Amino acid sequence: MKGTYLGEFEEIVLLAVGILRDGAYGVSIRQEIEDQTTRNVNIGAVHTALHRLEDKGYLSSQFGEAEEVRGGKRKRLFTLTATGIKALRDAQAIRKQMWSQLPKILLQQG
Amino acid sequence: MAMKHTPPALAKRLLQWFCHAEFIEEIEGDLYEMFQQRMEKEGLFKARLHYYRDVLDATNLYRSQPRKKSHNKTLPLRDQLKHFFTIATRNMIRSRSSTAINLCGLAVSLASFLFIALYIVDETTYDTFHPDAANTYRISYSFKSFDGKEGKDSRAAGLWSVTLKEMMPEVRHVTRFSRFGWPGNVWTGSPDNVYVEQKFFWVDSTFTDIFSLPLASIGDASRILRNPQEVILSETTARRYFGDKDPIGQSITYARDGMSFVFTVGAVMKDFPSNAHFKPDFIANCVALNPLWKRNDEDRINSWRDSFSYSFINVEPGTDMNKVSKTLQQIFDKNLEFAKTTHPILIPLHDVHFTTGFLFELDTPGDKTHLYIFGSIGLLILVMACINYMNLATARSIRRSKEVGLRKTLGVSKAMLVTQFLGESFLMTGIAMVLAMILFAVFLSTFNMLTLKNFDLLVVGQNKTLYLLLILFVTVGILAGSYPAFYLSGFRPVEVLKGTLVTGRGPENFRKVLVILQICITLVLLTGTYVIQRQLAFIDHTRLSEHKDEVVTVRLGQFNADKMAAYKQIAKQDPHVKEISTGPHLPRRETFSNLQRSMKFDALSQTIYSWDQLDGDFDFSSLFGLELVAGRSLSADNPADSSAILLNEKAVKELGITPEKALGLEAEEVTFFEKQGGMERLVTRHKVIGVVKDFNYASVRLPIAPVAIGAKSAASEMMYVKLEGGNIPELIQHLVQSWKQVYPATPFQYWFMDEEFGRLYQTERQMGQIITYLAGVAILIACLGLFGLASFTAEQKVKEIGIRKVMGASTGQILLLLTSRYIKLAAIAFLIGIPVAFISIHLWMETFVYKAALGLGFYIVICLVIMVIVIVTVGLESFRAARANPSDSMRHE
Repeated sequence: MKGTYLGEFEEIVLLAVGILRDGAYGVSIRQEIEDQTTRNVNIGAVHTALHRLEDKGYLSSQFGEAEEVRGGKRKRLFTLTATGIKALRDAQAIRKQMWSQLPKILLQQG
Repeated sequence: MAMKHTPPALAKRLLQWFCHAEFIEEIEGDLYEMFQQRMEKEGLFKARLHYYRDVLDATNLYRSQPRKKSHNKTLPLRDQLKHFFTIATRNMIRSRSSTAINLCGLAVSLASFLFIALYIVDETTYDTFHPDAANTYRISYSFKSFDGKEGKDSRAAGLWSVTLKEMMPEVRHVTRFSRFGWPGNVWTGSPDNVYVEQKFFWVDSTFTDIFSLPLASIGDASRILRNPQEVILSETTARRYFGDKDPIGQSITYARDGMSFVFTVGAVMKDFPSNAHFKPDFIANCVALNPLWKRNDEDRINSWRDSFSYSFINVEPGTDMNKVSKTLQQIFDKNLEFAKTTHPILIPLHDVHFTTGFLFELDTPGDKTHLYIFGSIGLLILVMACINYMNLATARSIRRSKEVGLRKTLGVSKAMLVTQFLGESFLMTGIAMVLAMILFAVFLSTFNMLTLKNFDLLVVGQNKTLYLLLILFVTVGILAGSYPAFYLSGFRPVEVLKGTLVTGRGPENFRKVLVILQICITLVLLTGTYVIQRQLAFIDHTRLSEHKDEVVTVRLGQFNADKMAAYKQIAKQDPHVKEISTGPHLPRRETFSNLQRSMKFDALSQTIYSWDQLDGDFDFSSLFGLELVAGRSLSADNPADSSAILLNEKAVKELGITPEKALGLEAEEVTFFEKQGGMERLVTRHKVIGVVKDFNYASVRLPIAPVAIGAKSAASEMMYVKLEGGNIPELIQHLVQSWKQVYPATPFQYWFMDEEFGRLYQTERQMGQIITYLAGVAILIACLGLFGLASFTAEQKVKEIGIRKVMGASTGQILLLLTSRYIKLAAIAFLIGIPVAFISIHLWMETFVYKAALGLGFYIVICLVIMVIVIVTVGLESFRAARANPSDSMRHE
């Protein structure tokens, strides 16, 4: 399957979904990422990433209730799937493994 | 809180216009939420600006399309299938009558089609079982007789092929065989028990190089064929001679011209398949007959001009056959006296069965027209059954429209509905196929009898049959199912569920066209059947065969005048034996020798006429009841009559004189024969003493030719006995007894002349019978369809009928209402069908020279018959509806 590779932004979106648990949808995810990374994040980018991740099978989604604050539109609520969690773990493991191989001296310099 | 602000409408519209519906709700909601947040924090203007930006951001191409279905929300395949079968069977059970009609029609038509296909495949694969049949050719030739008429002989002189092989390395194998002494006398054990064998083949030892010869017993065919003392028998022949005994090692004796040859049975071969143009019962090396071939200082096998053997060559693939032809012509030029008028014709082995116009063919040539006719009828029948399916399916569409509507509302795609309906037609075809196979098994023996083939049930297991079945299954399934599938799945759910569905005139007209088509086909088939039967009946009443029941034909061995006279005397002791005469084989076929004589009438002109020769003895003309137009008939009392001749009217006409003037004319006849390698010329003179009326002595496919009748009984092959009254079996017994006294060693081989004439028209008779059956099938299917449609109409109009009856309509009026539209359709069908039938009948009748008078009345009769069938079929069902109590039909609602 093409694109099982997890990009940096995708990883952050996945993590945000995980953190937000039941309340993960477009706006809240964007907010979370902005809060955590202090980056300015575009909502369109978040949507694109979410849909792509869902296609990859890392996320699943269903519609929530319609809300007044959203102009009567429903939220699309995202949750991590088992493969999504595994993908996060793998990404972390790779980082750990590579971190452990970094020469100590390099770290001390920083 | 300030007044509620909404995002800019233009941006929103842009979003809605661009994004696919699937994304809109989510994105619009998110953007709305953010718009509200921003408005509180940054004010309306900035919020709007951001909104625009976000919208532009969201409108990428990716979102203009629906998302890929990564999660299929439909049922698993297993459940889908189960569901499909449940629905299909429920539907089939609910509409029992139309299911029965469909199954019946499809099964019958499939079975018929299967039979026809088998027949056609068998006919078109003649001789293909021989190895490398594609590169095998028969050498035949065309020649010109003395009067300049062209003729074609299927055989070749022995040296041609052998020399060809020496000259051309491309010619790999050459083999020749003949049926010398046809028919031959064969016995085993005692000479009293003689069989007359027609299929004794004398072959070169190279026979197996070209032809396949599988043995049923152990042994090596090519080794046995090299040994002139051994013979190979076919399985059937071996059983005929030796019963259950082991035939191998037994001896049989072949007798001809006072010589006898003893053979040991070396092996038993399998019977040749029905699609072989020659099917030997005996095969032996021709060397064994050398004493016969080489009599009178000639060598008939290895001759330059005695076209005596059927010669076959096998060439390298890709050989230019024109070159082979040219080489043969060179051989002719070098060695033949008549090379300028003699030209080789190479016929591929595959085509031998279908070649016509050659003398001495080994089998009755097949007729490709018949194959086309059968094939198209088979297709028509199949189409008719499919039409029934389509008609009934679309007719029932109202009933199923609710189902379609509901399914569509629940999100079933059109493709799935099409699959469902197509699947139903495939299910139907599948069941019909099984029924067809049962029909096939039941009627196989009838079919074999009709077509004189010998298929067994094992053909079903053959690859080609399986492919055929598969193709049939798919074609019929699609043909029958596609229109209903696309029509039904096209319903709009809202209309259907609201009950405002108008089926429109489209399918109605479609059904009408199909009904018209069916009636047309039925009409053409019925008229065809009638015409064929009429022509056959006409043939049965042609001149010669008027006496056919009473004339017994007996095959003579060697003609001996004294013995014949003695036989006549003994046999005529019974008063029921009216006349006995010898003569040539009648009805005349092309394959009998002494066909023509060349005549010159010096008193008139120097023209040489080549006329058919019919030599019998003095009783010939009285036996066959030939009517004299002028002069007198040949008489034994007048010694000069032995060289006199009678002419028929046609011959006199060709001379250009009146019958009276022909009397007393002297004809000079020239015959050539080969003697000691050279040609001898013999001139005889004959006086014309009488002229007889034209009579059919051959197939009515041929025009009556000029005939000269003489009294040279020495050449007679047959004895004809005319019986009048009396007990036929007893009379035959009497004839046999008398025969044994005169010819103790020759078997009494006899048949009735009508049988022989029957065989002459075997192809027509066969075709007549097959077409009759097929027409029956077609009518059955058309009736089924009409019945189904009528019952549907009656059902659909049940309320209308009820109301009409309440208002005082009579049963008769309602019957008229229901049947009149079908009568109209039938009338239109007649208008189209009659010209079609007329043209096809005309084309078929063209092949006969003498035709039955048909008139035009039978068209009317047949149309009436069809009309009656239509009215009865439709009326039966309508009558039930018309009789129904209106309160029953009106009670609901």
